[in-house]
Amino acid sequence: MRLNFQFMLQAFPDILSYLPVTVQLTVGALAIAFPFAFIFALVLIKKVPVVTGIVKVYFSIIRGTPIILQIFIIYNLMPSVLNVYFTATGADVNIFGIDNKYYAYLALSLSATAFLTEAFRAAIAGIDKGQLEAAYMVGMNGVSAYKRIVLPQALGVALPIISNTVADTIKATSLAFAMSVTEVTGRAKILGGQSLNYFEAYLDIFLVYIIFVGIVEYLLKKLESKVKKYQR
Amino acid sequence: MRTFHWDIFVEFYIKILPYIRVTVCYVFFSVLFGFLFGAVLAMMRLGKRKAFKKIAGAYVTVMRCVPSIVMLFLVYYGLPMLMQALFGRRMQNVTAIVYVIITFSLFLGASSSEIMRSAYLSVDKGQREAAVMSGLSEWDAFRRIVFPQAFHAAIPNVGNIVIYMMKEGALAYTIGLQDILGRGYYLNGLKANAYSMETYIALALIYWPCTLILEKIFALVEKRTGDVGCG
Repeated sequence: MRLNFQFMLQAFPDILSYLPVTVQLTVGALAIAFPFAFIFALVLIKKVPVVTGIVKVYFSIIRGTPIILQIFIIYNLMPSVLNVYFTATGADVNIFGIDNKYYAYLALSLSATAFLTEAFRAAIAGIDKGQLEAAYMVGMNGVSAYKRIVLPQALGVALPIISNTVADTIKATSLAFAMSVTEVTGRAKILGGQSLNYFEAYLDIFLVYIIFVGIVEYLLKKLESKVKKYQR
Repeated sequence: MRTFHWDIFVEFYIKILPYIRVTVCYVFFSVLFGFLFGAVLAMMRLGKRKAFKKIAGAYVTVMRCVPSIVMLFLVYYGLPMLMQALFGRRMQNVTAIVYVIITFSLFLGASSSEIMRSAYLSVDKGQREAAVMSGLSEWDAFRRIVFPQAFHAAIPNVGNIVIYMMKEGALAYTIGLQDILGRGYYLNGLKANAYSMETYIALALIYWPCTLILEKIFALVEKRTGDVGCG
């Protein structure tokens, strides 16, 4: 088995220069997912009628379909939906000028939202009411009771799932090629195709992902052990 | 917005349905081989040999960091190269499904080893000791006391793995396999990709019920095995 090491060495920095796109996609997707997950978690905890049902069906669909299919659907549906919206409101926006990245953020955020909602819900529901009452008893006001008592503990419970979701989202960005967004995997596909060194190109990104996801997971583990000390 | 062609949707739905058998096939074999491999990894991690522990641990970590599509491509392009180097001949008549099964067996090996390990550790040590004390052999103690309880503890996770496998397996379309998603992709391609929305909605309405059914099955299994252990 002869590997083209020269190609691997040449392609590596080229591929690495697309890591910022992977990071961007991850951050973009999580930036959408976090606030929505928080709102959905509150909806589930407060058992808001009708909305709770909608959120549950949404989860069921997201859990029940492959991410690649969610990507296909968003990528196909969004432009026409936006077109209808822009035409109706008379806004002068060229939908074909919209960067595919925005569709990618949305598509990748769908499953991240579902997992984070579950994490937040479990974490907030898991904090004993007595904790809050005790904080009031010793003279804290609402804000500092939440900031110093409830949230640190909730974060400790939620962090392992948050870490998992972050890692899963990074891995899911590798599917962005289906939306013509060129990130690490997409670049490897292109470079491999140009020179027919597919295996070498994928070996390169194999290393990129191990190192990158490895570092992110390590940092999140560190954070976990730091936050854990607030837990009882 | 363009109109939704219900006739095409129904036609595709009916044409895709039979290809569930392909998905079932790779899910079954990937889970089977994955768990066999996972059992070996779990034994390595629970055993006393430091080197084995390290190797198995490193393998699990690596597998957690790599997207399945990357692994699928590595196997798809790398395995024929490896075969040629080892046996001097190209793998030519190997169907895509073999690569899918190999790829996901590698993944499921890692994740199932984690499940088995935690399930084994969830059974109290005293259980095995009590069993051995009352005259059971080490193997019987495992088979009749520890395993049923560990099995029960692992069921929800096993269910998640099977569902994960069904969904991630959809990536097989990238190497030309016609499973549920692959068939939809192909049918849509035959019509110059003109009916993407119909195809994708049909696919979603196939995958979603499949997941719901699997969830029901595993919930049922968990309930049925509930009275085996005492935990």
